[in-house]
Amino acid sequence: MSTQTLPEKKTSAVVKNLRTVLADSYALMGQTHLAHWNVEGPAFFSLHQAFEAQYTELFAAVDELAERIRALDHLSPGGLSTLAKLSSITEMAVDRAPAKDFVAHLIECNETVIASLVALREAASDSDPETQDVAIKRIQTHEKAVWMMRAFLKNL
Amino acid sequence: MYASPSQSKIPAGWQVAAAKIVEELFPVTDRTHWDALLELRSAFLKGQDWAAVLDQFLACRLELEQEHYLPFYRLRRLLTTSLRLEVSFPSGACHQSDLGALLRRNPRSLGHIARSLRRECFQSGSGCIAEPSLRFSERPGG
Repeated sequence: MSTQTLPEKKTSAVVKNLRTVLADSYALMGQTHLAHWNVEGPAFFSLHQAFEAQYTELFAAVDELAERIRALDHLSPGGLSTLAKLSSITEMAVDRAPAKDFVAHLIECNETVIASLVALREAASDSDPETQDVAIKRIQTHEKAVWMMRAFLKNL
Repeated sequence: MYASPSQSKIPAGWQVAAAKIVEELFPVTDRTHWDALLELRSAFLKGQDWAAVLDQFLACRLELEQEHYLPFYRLRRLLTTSLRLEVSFPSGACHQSDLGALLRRNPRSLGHIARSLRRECFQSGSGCIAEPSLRFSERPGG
């Protein structure tokens, strides 16, 4: 009985995309943590807490993603430098900025992660429904985060 | 779609991206703002006078950013990563300025930026009292 459940070619495409999603999610976690520390202004308390909830959720998520790579019998990338090289997320400059800038930046970072997840979902669509399921759940989480942050930016 | 007989230069990717962001504002803004938005879109695509692009961007931002923060944040990011600003004073002093930091202060116009830089120069003890000239250029690979 073979212990290999997926053809190698299909696994590599899925794993390649999983690595990108992991790197982008890790970068987003870092940017969210930065926003949690440096946000200032009248909305400080609500944003400080909201960002903490987001990066806490992301901390669990990156673990799940890395362990999915391992479950596919590939090594997971890790470490700040390695993951930064794999991610396309741009870091925010360390400078005073309006609270809305932190929110807008995180919306853009979440959008980058969603794009990576959509690519993962497509790569996994005909060969790996379990990974596809992971991608779908993550997309829902990030879309919810984007909705909440867009709502914050509205001028009401 | 974005070329015109009067254009000799094909717009860079960031210029097209900026024009698309401006286009997204038409369905969600009052038509009284459309002339200004059309000017801004055209300015981005022509890319011939970056100072005029900045001035038009700041004018639209003043009117619309409060209601549409995210599009103007995206435009600000594109401008900051694609253009650089050189500031020269009549005394001959010249330096590159952080365009991102200047735009974060929400200036009303280029004149406002120039006056703000003059004030900083004066406060630093350099004694400059004349407004600097601002020169914008594209970053390589931007």
